[in-house]
Amino acid sequence: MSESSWEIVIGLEVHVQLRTRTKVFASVPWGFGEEPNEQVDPVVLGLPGTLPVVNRAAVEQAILFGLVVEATIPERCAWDRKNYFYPDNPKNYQLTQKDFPVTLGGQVEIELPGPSRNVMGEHKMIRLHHAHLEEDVGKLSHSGSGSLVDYNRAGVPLLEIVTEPDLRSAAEAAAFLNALVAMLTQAGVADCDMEKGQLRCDANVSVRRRGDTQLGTRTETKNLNSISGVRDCIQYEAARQIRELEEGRKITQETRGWNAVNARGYVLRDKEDAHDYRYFPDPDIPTLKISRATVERLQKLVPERPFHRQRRYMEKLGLPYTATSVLIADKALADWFEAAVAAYPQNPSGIANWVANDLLRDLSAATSAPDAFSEPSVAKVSLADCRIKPVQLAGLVKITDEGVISKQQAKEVFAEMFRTGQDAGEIVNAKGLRQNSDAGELEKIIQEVIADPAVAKSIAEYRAGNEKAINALKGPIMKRTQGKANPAMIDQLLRKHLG
Amino acid sequence: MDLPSSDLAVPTYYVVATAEASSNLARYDGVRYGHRSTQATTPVEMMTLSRSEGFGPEVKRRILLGTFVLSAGYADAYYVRALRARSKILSEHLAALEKVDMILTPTVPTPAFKAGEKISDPLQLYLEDIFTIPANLAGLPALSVPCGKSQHLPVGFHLVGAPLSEKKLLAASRVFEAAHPYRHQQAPL
Repeated sequence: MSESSWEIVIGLEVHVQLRTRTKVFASVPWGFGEEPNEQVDPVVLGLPGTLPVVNRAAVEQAILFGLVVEATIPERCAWDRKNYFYPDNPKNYQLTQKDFPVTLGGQVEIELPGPSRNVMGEHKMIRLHHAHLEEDVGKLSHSGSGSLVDYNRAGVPLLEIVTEPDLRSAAEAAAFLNALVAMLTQAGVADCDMEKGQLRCDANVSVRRRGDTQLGTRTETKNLNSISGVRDCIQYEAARQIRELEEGRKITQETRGWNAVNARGYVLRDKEDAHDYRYFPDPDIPTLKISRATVERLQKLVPERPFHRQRRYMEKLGLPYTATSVLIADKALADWFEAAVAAYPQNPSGIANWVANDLLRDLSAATSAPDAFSEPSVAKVSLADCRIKPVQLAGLVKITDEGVISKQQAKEVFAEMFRTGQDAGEIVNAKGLRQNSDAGELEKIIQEVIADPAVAKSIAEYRAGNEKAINALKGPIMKRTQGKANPAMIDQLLRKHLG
Repeated sequence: MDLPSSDLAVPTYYVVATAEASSNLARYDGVRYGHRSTQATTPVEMMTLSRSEGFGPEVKRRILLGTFVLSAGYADAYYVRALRARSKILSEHLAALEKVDMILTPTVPTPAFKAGEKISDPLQLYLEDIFTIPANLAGLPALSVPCGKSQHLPVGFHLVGAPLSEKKLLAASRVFEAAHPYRHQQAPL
């Protein structure tokens, strides 16, 4: 198979459950893991005589998403009915937005995998076609004695985000979903917990000979519920289409399913069996006018875009790529880092190192070992439970930079700070860690050490021009001071005495 | 006063109303409430049979008509055109109501006919609504007032007003009823 002579063209339709307290057309709350049919009311069940009322929060979350991806927010949006009979669909029509969606256009910046973990990959803009609001449906399960339906999920607000066919590989599709999830979660628009089905994806895939300008016939694979599923499915489907074409067959426009267990796709229905959804404007919900004041208010809630933040860290703060990619992945972590930098702006790289390495490592160890904190363990690394405050880490970096404590001592102070939440100064005093910067006392120790015949050889080598030989003298001095001596001062005084 | 699109009202109404009915009545599938067929072996068959058994002929006629006018390939010719006619009817009424306070017509074109007399002629039956339908399509307030007898049978007149003119319509009918208390007269049964 000559994959390199083929170009893969991918468009995604991503369904995201919006973070709202209640459902999109009813005032009943929704959540995950409740007993079946607990989160229903007459509207959700489509009882005769009930009418939908649009949830303002769902519309505002959708607008906020649009602002995050720099989409156009039209002045009006409207609802349509998508008619199809299925027992998980309480009204046997789904309320959705076909002709007047809540956002138009927009773009998502993605980063492709770099040549190594420490090197930034290529960046690319993926255009969005639009995003529209709709209601989720219930869940049907079949048992030996019959079929059961749970309407808890019915009416959960869904935002369907539709891309242009701008993605060119399974890796790009995965990178797009990662970037989209970061934007959605950082703006608080959605939690995107894929294990709870909060993000599902349909992948439209076609292939064409490199250089062709016409798009090939596409297939749509429905209901992919993990990023790895999307990646595997696209790889499978593109390879299948290339094989079909190379063997002289044609691609049928069809709707497909994906079996994640055996990593194979299968035909759900072909074009002949395509549903006629008989879309028409919903007569129950009036067209919604989106006031410019609402858009302006929501604009203020748009957080800094992750890659913008990364570029700022690299260009303005001089951080290395590796640290920035750790920080920007989590808005709370990046905000925490910035609070520490605000308290001590002299050494952002030093602070970034502590945050990206020590703090994350200890937080992750603490959350997996419940005893480390008195609170019960939480499922995810949580900065909210962290006892170190940003200003305290800033203080630790500051006294280390000033030579009050050594880098080695700083590790010890950090561990104590992580455990107790005390300030660095308090810990240093309590443990007697303050570096010895008393020149008189240090000079006495140095004189004793260089008088020791055991180091005579090193002294001779240093005097003969071997710069590195001086280090052999620092160990014994540090030992005599129980590690409290200021290394810079040792170096300075040693050179004075040997010079 | 000129309402040139009045003759479009009944056909427009029966496209829009049946389209909406076909979708509104979709929820009567036997899954959550109402009649459920006992003959089915699968969920989809249960829905199909429950609907076939539960609905009467006029309801089925409207569902079929509504489903047809919304179908791919036909929606533009029927449903979309009907929506255009509906906007035209509304704008003509609004223009007319700029010049007059209210529009007065008979409520129905003929006195009451015998029960079941026209059941086999749905088109004739639908035309009985010719005076009341425009207000419904246009979303305008309207009311019917008993105003005397024709061929010994009670008849009424129909008043249509501008949007939010309910108060004016009620005041006008109150004045008429005070002068002509027909509502107290019973028709011989």
